[in-house]
Amino acid sequence: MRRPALIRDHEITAVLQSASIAALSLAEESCLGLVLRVDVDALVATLAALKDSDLGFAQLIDLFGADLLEKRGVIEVTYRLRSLERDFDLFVKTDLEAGGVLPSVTGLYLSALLPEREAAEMFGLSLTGHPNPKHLLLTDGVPPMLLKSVPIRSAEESRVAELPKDDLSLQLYNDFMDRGIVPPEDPDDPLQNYLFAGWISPEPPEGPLVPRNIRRVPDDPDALATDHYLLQMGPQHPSTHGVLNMVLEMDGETIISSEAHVGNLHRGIEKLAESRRYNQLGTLVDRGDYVGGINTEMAVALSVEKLAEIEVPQRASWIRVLMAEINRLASNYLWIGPCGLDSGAMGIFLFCLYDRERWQEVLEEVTGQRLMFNYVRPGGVVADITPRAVALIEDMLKDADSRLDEHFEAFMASEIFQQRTRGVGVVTKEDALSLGATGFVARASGIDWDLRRDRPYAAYDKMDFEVMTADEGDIWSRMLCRFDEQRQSLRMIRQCLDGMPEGDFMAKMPRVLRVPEGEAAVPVEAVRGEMEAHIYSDGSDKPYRMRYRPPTLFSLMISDLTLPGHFLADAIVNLGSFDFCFGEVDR
Amino acid sequence: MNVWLVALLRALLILLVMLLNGAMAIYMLRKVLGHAHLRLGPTELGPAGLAQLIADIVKLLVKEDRHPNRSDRWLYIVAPFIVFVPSFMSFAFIPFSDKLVAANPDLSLLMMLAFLSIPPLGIFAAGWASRSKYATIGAVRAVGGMITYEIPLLLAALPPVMLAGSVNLQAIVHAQSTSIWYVIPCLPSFIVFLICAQMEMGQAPFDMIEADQELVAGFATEYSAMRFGFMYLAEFAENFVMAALAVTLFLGGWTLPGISATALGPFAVLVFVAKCYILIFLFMMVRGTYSRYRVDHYMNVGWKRLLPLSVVWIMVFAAALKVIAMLRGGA
Repeated sequence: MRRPALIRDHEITAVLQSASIAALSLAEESCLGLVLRVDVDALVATLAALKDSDLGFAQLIDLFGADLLEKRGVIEVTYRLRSLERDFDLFVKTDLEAGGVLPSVTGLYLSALLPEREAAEMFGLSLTGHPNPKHLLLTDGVPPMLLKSVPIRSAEESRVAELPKDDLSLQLYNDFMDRGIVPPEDPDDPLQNYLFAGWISPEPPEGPLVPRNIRRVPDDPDALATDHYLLQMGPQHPSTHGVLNMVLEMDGETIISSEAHVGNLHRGIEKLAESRRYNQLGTLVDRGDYVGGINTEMAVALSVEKLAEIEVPQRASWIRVLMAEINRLASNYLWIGPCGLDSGAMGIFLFCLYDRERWQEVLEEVTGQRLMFNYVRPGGVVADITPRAVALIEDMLKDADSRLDEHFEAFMASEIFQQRTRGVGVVTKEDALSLGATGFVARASGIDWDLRRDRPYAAYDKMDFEVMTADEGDIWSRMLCRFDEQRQSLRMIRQCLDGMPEGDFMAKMPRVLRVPEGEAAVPVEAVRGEMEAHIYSDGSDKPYRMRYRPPTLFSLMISDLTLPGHFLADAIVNLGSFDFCFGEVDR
Repeated sequence: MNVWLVALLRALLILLVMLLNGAMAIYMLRKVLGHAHLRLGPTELGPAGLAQLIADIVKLLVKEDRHPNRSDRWLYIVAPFIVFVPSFMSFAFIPFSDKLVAANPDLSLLMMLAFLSIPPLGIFAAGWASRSKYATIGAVRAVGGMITYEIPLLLAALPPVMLAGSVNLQAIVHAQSTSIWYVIPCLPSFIVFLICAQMEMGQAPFDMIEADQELVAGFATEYSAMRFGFMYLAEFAENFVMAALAVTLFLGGWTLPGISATALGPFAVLVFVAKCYILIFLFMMVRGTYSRYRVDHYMNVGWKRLLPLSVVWIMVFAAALKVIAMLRGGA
């Protein structure tokens, strides 16, 4: 295991001094770690200095706001930077006044593309320097939801509140049509072309960039003039894994650009969390990543435990690992199968569902639920594992490995499948770092990083497992990494059954858990990547603000930016290969 | 008897065969795919789920026959029949037994292949008339695919013709009953023929014209009710026709080795149909197993693999035939 070489605050001070930036403060905060507060005018310069320094802050892991208007009269925006080399997270915070202007950092970290839009719309901020500063999740006209002054309303109330229904649809339509004919201001800036043409495509289109829906006139007068057309893929399309709406600009069968429209499943989980008690939060995050619920619940529980300084019994930690790995297995089966289905092979889909069903049985036996577990709560877990569950697991462990090999051979050994996945949807290591890739997407691009190994939580420090990485970054490597994850999960399940300590499965908890004031975020290796619940507590029994970092929101940017230059058929396989869960993207 | 009456009866008989085949093939597809996928297929309606089909047909018949607002109305209505009728007509040339063949012109193989190349036009018309982007992409793929597989398919059908010295299907069957099944001397052609047949039928792994994951339902996206049913039926008919063609050209048609036509008698039909369904089973297993080719890979398979292979093979084959004939003549 790697030993973290902590970054000391004087190193950061040195970086700031060399860039002659005056920080407002730089201090260790109890549950969070090192926090750097800067003035909003110095924000971009600070991040640029940190990124270019030898401290290696190559990744912007998360970006979100918090409404502290009642407390300090500001809206606080937090940037979570990560240095993989030094294994260190730095929180950069800046304060904005209500309705302020947030300078975009997309020029430094591409992973800010979507979270910035989300932060801006949720807190009523405006963006400068963003290539595509539209609303991300909310319909135009809905008030900034995460402001404390905006009450929780039903979907109908908020839908009709601001705009008459006719106007709304007209506005959406105009918005959609407009996007096609606004040319980029600066055709040389790749970010400006985000919406328009072959960015990050292997071969950028020749000649001047032509906006959508405009006839591309060929140089050769005898050549055929071809129109680009917009293909609305989704949200009713059968294979967009939920309710994604991809707007593809197509040249025949080739994708020129892709833009994902999300928000169809937005339920305001982060807003709702502010009116739930701490042990009720699990029900909400379950409805985020609805396939890998135990892992996301654990993220909430760990953050709350860190804030409230709750000692979790050993057995509870072990049960958490056991159930999280079973959940990971079951969830990954629901990825391998549909990935095969996306490429046209129906057989593997049903083979995988068969295995998933058997693991679901264990989850059902222990938690009483199949999807919305609400099983991991602050202090431990809700119920002990039953003898029947142990018998079920042991029964399945008998042939789980051989069945996995069988799937591998039946499905991935097929030459057609390899043709479809090798060298398709390539995410380079640089892109993966810049776009905030975590989890298996990062590992498939050669980033050797697994929170279970590098920042062990629960009882992962007692587990013996390996982390596989691949260098190609294509769909095939993502497959390989995921298959290996499956094998490692089986290994860990065996270790859990063998080494499970005796004891309580729940710490002694007060009936109403009040959490001391503060902030905490424990990153968790959820099924689809890194998930963390960043919780602001104001000392009451409910969180003041909960940020849910959705790993697949970041994958969505990666998917968008890898698509240009590929065929339409690749769009589906590529989309599937990131394991999207739109409950999580939209929250 | 009146010529027209005979023709009408024959046509009705073919229609009956086609419908029965459709019913049989749909049930078989569901069961075969089901068991290949660790599930059971239809089980609820009727014994072993047999009546599921009736329910489906009733459903197709009574569903609303809608058409898209801005579709090309007449083309949209006619297109399913452009797909259906030629597949129906190609049944006429299938020699079920020594006597049982609806039409037996001298050029029956050529006519059959000619009829089989009409449905892609209907598919294109259907996709084009739908005015839907998905349907249009499917339609364009259908035409591109047709150019890809048609030439290797014809070339693959040539070696049996050379051996038998006739393009009449019945004559090819008779020629095989006196020598050996042509699958033995023409094995490469047989394999190319099967691959091209899969392409012709538009079945996985070559189902890019409907590619449900990409194009929703491809050329048929906007179709509903019985118009959709017709295209479905035509697909299964084509399934049978291609299997029948493969059986006739390469697997001895309705004959069995070592048994004379008179001894086989009425069982010849059963032998033929059984051979066809064994091939259809093979097609279905392939369909249930593999991923789909991407469009460019599909073209590569057609143009860079199958076409050169067929051309080279046919030259080698023709030369070998000539050499053998000369040797025999010389001896």
